[in-house]
Amino acid sequence: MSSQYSKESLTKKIVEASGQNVFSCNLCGKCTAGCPVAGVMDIKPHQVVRLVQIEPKILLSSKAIWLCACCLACVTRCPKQIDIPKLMESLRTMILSKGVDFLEYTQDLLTLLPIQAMVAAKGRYTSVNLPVRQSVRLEKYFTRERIKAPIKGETHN
Amino acid sequence: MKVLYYPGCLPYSRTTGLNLPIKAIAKALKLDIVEIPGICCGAFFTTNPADMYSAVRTLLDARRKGNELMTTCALCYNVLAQTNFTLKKDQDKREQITAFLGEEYSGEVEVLHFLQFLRDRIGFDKLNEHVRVSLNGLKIAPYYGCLLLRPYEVTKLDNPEHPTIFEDFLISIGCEPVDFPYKTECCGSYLAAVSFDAVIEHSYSIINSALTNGAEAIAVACPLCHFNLDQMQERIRLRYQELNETPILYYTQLLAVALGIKETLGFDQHFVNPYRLLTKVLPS
Repeated sequence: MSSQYSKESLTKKIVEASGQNVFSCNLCGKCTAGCPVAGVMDIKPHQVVRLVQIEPKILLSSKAIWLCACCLACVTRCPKQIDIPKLMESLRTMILSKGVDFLEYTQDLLTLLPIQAMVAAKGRYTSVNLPVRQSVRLEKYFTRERIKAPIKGETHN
Repeated sequence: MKVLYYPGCLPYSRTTGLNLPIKAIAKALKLDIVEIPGICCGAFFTTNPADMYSAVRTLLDARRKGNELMTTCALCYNVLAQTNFTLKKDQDKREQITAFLGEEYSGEVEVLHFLQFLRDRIGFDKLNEHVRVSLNGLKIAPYYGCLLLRPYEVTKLDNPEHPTIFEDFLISIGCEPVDFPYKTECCGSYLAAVSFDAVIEHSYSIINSALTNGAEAIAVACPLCHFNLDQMQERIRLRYQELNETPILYYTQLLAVALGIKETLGFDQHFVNPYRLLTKVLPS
């Protein structure tokens, strides 16, 4: 691991970008208990908070950060008011700000999904609105395939 | 009463029921609706200032014409309210947006959801006096979803865990609200763009929970909730054949029916047409 992305600096970057004090977490697990997508997440929300503290680079290759629906149930129930969706967003931004795109505008999706879903997904899974920083080199922590790979047993139809 | 109304992308949406009856409703309630012409609000709030430009443009437009902006859509409401809240306290983002748009905005316009408007500006008792058609205690499950209630410090619409505003609204128009545990649970919103699995599982739990508690239909306030619960029923019923077809209605459609509005309400765009349910209770 290069010194630029040492454990401490990545944690610091996430904390600064999201503005959340991850170190106040009680690990009570209320966020995971109420999360609607925790069942399909590889890393559960309370584990995300803990991993930001101790091993943040694992999160860059996780599927969990792409599955958060931003329903804010975790924030409402958190005794320490940690905004986990903001943590996930800052992690997504780190990957997306490379200029990559994780949304495929297939004809199927465009005919099926309502306009609001496509616009919302655009803000989450593409980098169109982000300032693209070429200097950010994070590809050693993730590959496009690892994120794109569907959840076990799932097909898109 | 003059009301600024923001339709957003609702007129171009797949199901336009949330926006279609609003002019007739305004006429029945004697409201003077001034439309803020729709540009997209951004659909989902992100902390990235570049995503906020269009919402701020709408709010600036509203500030020139009044000090309250009403919207029927939960997505628009959430995005505009969160943008307002962020720009009130975050000076960095405010400066960045001011530099781009050339006009400073620091959260002066109050954003109201139509349910909130009905409760705080008209009153549910007064609304009840306008009801022309009795819905005969139609059993409706009010599904709030996430965006109406959360985050609480921004929306302050109702208690995020035990809300009652939707129930009060349904009682005032003559329906019988059905309490069910999944009413504030997320339906998966835009996740259908990446994974149908999460959406199917969640929509199934929500519909199933409402039906087990005795509901005949579900009322929603968000176009994404409507898509996930209504249009996805085709896919849900492939996996769970025992699930009955459940009509999903927008609250504005129910209100229009109760106010005796005869115009088209966009029922034919739904996957499960609620017309059959309504003919059961309506006299004609």
